[in-house]
Amino acid sequence: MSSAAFLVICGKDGWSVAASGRDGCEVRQLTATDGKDPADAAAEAAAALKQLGHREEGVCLALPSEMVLAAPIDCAGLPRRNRRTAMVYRLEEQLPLEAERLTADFLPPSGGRALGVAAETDKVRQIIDALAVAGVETSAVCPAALLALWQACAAGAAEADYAVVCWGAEVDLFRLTNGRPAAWYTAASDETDDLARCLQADMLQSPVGADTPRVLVFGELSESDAESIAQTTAPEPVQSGEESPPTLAAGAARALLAGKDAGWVNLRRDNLAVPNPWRQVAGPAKCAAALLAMLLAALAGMGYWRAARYEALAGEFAGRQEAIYGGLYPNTAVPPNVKSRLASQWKRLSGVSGAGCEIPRRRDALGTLRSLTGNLPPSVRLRIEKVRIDPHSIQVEGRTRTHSDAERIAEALAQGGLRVGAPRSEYLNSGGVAFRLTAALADEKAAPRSARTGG
Amino acid sequence: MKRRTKILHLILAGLLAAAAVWSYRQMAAARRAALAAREDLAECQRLARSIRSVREMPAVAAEHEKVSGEITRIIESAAASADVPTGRLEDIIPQPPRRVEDSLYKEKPTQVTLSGVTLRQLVKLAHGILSGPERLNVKWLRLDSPAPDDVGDLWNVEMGVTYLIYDPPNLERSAN
Repeated sequence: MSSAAFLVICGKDGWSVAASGRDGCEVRQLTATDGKDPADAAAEAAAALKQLGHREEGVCLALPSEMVLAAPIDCAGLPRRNRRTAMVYRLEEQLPLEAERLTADFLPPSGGRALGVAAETDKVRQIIDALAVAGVETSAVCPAALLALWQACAAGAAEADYAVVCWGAEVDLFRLTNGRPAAWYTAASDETDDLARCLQADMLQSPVGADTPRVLVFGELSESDAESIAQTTAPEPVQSGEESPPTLAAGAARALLAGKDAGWVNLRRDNLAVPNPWRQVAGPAKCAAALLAMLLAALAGMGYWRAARYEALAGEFAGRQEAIYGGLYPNTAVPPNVKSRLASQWKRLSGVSGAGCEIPRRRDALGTLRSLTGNLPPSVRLRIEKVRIDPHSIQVEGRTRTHSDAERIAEALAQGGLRVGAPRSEYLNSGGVAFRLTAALADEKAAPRSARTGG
Repeated sequence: MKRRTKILHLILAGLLAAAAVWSYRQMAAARRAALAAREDLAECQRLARSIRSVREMPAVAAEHEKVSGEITRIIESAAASADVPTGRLEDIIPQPPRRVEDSLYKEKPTQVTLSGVTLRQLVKLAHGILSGPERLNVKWLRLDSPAPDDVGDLWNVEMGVTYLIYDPPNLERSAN
């Protein structure tokens, strides 16, 4: 059977399995499993499921009504936080077991009240574990009667006031409000008047109105029960459809396993929730997370501390720079950028002292005069009348006796290192010769003064 | 675990991670600053040694233009030391500074005019100017005999006294 959903029904009279697919539904009643160990019953169910085509899909576990406790609760005044817990405790007040022993779920509220459905956790877990051992994983848990009713309501039975689900040894009476069960009564099928009394009590408690309540029956209702109901409500109850409750439940299970809200409740939750595959590593994971958090905190603290140390170190270096500046320039305010100021001071002092700088050539005119006078020939009578000493040249004008004396003067100055041009001389009427000498001074580039940098 | 608790745990983890990242960045920035400060300190120590060394060297230039009266005082003092009679020192004319070619220096000339001084007085005067700590220089000389037929030892002198001023061009100065 393709794309089938599987249902395991653990009833009072024995277990059955069902497969519901597009092609239809197949229900197999297993051999009587009442009194059997749940492990044996689960193994038999697993074998039957395998024959129906079950592989590894999760199945829906349908609980018999005898394992289910139901009661309506008042939804008024529920706290916003932990609302569900408060609902469970309100349900506990109407049930004979403590909330800690129950797994409960609630139908959607209607008229300020919600029907709570609960099952004893340990008993259900026993069945789930037995199925798991047999290789069948349980994905959903829902009362069988609710599954059948849901499927019937989806098919149009929601307009009735009451619904009766006859399933084996149990008969379930549901009061319907807005298409959902608002009250749930369970009676033994062999107790003739129980069902009618439940109906009467409910009608007295909450009258349905002037109209005669409409009662729908699913499954085979005994004649005595039928008569009792007929006496309570006229006209006679109407049999709805030919589908048996197991078939209806199988259809609802298919919808539930497909993710729909079939059956209105799912007790595979809370203490019966599907085991978290990560639960085994939850402890180590929490430890790892805590250690990671501690590591991050330690890294943050260490980074902050180290940053503070570096800042202190930078401050110490800055202080030493200021001390250096203070040693060089006492009684002077320390500038913000000591290095830059020292660099500019060094450059300035280098320029002033000529260290590393090309100093312009400064020819000393006095030295040139000394050179001139020192190189005049002593044996020549002459009179200097004008001397012009410039950085690059010398010009001398004077008188001597003859032209050759002027030549000798020029030669003597040339021998003294001056580059003398040919003298210009002319006879004077008063006697003697006036001469003019021009000499060029050699260019010298001043070498940069080296300085001990100490670097 | 409730959703709110999960969200709180995630927020806490995010805050811790952000704090760790922030503190690491702070540490890295502080480390860079400390390394830079250490390098600056080493540079400052080197510069300090250089400055102390240069301070021991005599200056070849002035840091700024001297007050004109200072040069006048120096020249008059040198003239007095050279026994130049007071009236013979005729003029001391400061002139505006000029940049020396493409160098970092300017030259501040002062023209000095003397009349009827001997060569000895002239040399002593010039030597007195040159030997001062101000690093003055006699750049040029003009000697003229007072009269064409004068055979004495007196001269009329014009000379240019200069000193260097360290004055780098604008680009270099802004870099300083």
